[in-house]
Amino acid sequence: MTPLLTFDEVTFGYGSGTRPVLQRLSLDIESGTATAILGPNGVGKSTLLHLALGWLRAQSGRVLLDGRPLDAYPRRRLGQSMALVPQVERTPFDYTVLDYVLLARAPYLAPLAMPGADDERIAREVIDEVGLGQLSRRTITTLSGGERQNVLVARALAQQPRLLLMDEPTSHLDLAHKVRLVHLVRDRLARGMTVLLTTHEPDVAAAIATHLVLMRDGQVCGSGPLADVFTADNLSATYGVPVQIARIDGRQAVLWT
Amino acid sequence: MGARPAWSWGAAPATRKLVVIAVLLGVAVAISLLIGRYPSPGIIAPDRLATDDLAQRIVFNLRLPRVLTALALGMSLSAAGAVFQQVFANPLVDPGFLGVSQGAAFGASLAIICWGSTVWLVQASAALFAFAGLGFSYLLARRAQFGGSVLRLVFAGIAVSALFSAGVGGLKYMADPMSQLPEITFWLLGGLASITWPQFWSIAPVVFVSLFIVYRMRWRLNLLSLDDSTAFSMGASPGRERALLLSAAVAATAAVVSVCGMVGWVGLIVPHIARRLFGADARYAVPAALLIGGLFGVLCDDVARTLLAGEIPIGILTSLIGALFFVVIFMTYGHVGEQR
Repeated sequence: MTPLLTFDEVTFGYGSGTRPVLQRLSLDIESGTATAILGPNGVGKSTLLHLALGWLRAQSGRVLLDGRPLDAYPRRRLGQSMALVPQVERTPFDYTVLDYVLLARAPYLAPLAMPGADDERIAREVIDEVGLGQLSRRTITTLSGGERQNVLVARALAQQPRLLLMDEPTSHLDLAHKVRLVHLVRDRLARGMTVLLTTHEPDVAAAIATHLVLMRDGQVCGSGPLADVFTADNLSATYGVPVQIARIDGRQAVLWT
Repeated sequence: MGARPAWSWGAAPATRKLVVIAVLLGVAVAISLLIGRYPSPGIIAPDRLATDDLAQRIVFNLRLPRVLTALALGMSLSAAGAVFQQVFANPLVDPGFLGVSQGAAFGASLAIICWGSTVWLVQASAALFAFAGLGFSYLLARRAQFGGSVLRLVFAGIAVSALFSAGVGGLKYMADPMSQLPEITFWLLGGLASITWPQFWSIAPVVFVSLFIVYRMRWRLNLLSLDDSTAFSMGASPGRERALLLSAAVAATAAVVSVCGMVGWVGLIVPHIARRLFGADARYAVPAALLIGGLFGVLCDDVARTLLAGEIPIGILTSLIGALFFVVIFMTYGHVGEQR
């Protein structure tokens, strides 16, 4: 079966003359999996997501969706297939939560059309799903950091993507919000969505992912099913510090000293 | 346009508010036609209009084009301001941004010095250099090596504005202090005293088309206020859509500025008022900005031509009122300062 998303020998660097961020990176994302990209800060994880979107273009190599290069798809079609939860987002204007989430309906609307009743219904459903139903009329600048992160998640879900890209989705969340997000993603996985997320938190990766990709120095230094890759040796090598893995009731946690 | 969805102001209130402002605008236009200095300072009684030939000619040949131009002026600057603020995700920019205003000022001053006061030449030169300002800013931004696309445009706009501003200074220095300098000064202060039907018609098509584009694409403005990569991920073409909307905004601005001179602050302040009243969603904020801007333009011009025996440059009024509004908004608006 063709993987949903394929990185084929992708090399990318910002600006000419600088060392590429990603070097000849190859990776397959199978449909229905949750893949966590784990690695230290600055290793090129966000870059990889932007390449997956087609926002950045590989200097060499190809990125394929369903076996076809991203360039072969109309822009809106890509927007219907993939949605991004950005790591941070500037919110210069005081949109209401609902207005903001409604923006995600853009790929389904003709260029000059505006969202209608169906779009609003979809937006309200995902806002309820992330637990912000009571806040849909509030403006986003009045929300807490965790609530805002949930708005970004709701917006991505309102896009009804097959592939959900999440860039460090838990980095601004307290424990309760983190747990809630993990459950939400698992629920979506069970309903057939494919997830590709970056994180520098091994625990989050262990809680969500079915597959793991370890990155170091712009290259994949380990990938495969979670159980095979999530080892103390691999994580120690990825982060460059010694760690241990504790297993309790089939769950895993990273210990360090 | 669909009905106002029920989640923030309710379906009726937002549309009703727009209707209220539209009615106010209609009333303001009607009254503006009647007030002036004929037959005596004050209002022409409507029944007199039916019998008095001179009153008819004054109202329909002199005041009507002027009022309509004031309407176009306020609407264009406000719509352009809304576009600039959303596209640059920055509530503190206005249509003068990106060298547009200073370009127009330079073009007009250059024409006044080189070809005297031929009206259409001053107009054409102002419009040409307004677009040149935008073009230079864009080219400069493309060549800059640092920052994101928005930051590069901001810096390019500052540099280009400063260059044109220096140029205007140089032209004023060279101008004949008896004839050319007063004309340049009056143009830089803005005014609608010389507006007649031909001038209104010379800008009406551009203004109409530009405002129509902005109005129809208003929901996309929300998308463009997000990060480019996010807008892209939602199927938008941020670069192309931004260029189209900016071109429409600059075309409308260049058109009205070319006949009215420099009129500041409207484009900065009116979109703020619109967002205050209707929320940030451009689906409602843009039509609100159009109506409020039109109202502001018409009322300011009324004051400019009727308050004193002589004409008050409208740019002085808009700057005065706009700056005061700005202070009020800043004192009472909690979120502007929190933005990243």
